[in-house]
Amino acid sequence: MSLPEIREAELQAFVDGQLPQARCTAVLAHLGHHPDDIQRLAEYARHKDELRRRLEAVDPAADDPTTVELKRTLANRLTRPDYRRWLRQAATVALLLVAGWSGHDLYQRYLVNRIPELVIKAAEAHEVFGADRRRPVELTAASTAEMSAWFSSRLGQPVEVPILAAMGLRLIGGRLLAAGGHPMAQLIYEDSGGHRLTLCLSSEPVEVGQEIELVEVGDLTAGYWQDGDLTYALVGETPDAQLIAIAAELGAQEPANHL
Amino acid sequence: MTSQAVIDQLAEHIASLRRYAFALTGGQQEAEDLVQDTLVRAIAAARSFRTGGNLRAWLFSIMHNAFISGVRQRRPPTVELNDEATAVAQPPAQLILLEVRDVLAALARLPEAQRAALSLIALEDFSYGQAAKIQGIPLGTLMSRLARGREALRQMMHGDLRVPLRVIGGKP
Repeated sequence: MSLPEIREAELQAFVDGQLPQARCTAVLAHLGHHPDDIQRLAEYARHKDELRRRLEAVDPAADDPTTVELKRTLANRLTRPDYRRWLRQAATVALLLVAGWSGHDLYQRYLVNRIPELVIKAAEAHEVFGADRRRPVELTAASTAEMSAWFSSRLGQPVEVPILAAMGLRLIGGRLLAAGGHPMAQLIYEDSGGHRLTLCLSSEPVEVGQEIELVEVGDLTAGYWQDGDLTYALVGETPDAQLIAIAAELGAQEPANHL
Repeated sequence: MTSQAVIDQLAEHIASLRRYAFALTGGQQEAEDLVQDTLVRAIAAARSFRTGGNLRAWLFSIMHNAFISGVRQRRPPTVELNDEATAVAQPPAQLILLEVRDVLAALARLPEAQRAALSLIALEDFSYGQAAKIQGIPLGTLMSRLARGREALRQMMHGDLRVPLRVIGGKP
């Protein structure tokens, strides 16, 4: 009796117990005539078991506090109503402030629809990573040079870590996040009252002007602008004037007709 | 589902992810970094997870993407080699006579794609279909990576073949 040819994939499936029952007889018959294959598959199976055993024996890092915190955040996000949708709605409903244009409905509508992804992400990241004072930072303020080098390599652009001590803001640290598949650097600052302000930087090309634009998202205010090849988003529960002043310090151009 | 129930589930999944991350990166710190990168991405993408979906498979596919984009963008991965492996002088043409009895050291020498296929199937009871989906490749590609990876590993464990040494830290 001639047997249908056995394919290599079927031999692999045999090793993994994923071969359909109907083909097992054929594979067994094949192996009956191919002792070399029996030897080979036996080794595959042995290596597979050994691999699993060795990998399972790898001593896991003692509960890394960052991992634990991320786990808790993820659990919250998975069980919470859609935060992002809420953000978008809030952005649409909330008064959108552009200096000098605040009464202009059409312009507001237009602006709501073109809030860059980065700004939504920056606001979200402020809530998740910036506002919580217990959350450890990935890169501490002690190593601004290292932080700068790390961000520069990931963003593909030279990134300076701004020192805002003159504005009464202390750098707490930073971390690297992703917005729409692009790396986004987040820097966290704190004022003397313990209020936090986060600055996000991205090298993703977006259509953003060099003049700061302000948008209110829930209780947060975000200002964003472009400078060279980088887009900046500054987020906090900060009065507009203060946000604009800090942004100016960072290189943003002030809105021409701001009060 | 309550948040605590999800935390408990996640704890289990994270332990699995950590093992896969170790298989991919070859180092404990690198593995933990990859786990954290995965969780950050999962947090950002939490809305895309459908309630009742396969949380474990979802997390694994996020980790796979994180690993792939990390390989492309990040510093070159460092692979911890054991002494017997690194002590061998490297002849020209990047060929080396391997005598690797350690299955983890052999795994670390496989090309990334084969290493991913092999370790995912070894570690987790995913079906081939799920594993292919997690790695974002067609089923046939997964099967051929699995077959080639297993054979390369076997040859290395025999130590009787010349196997191209994977260039660490450079372009593949």
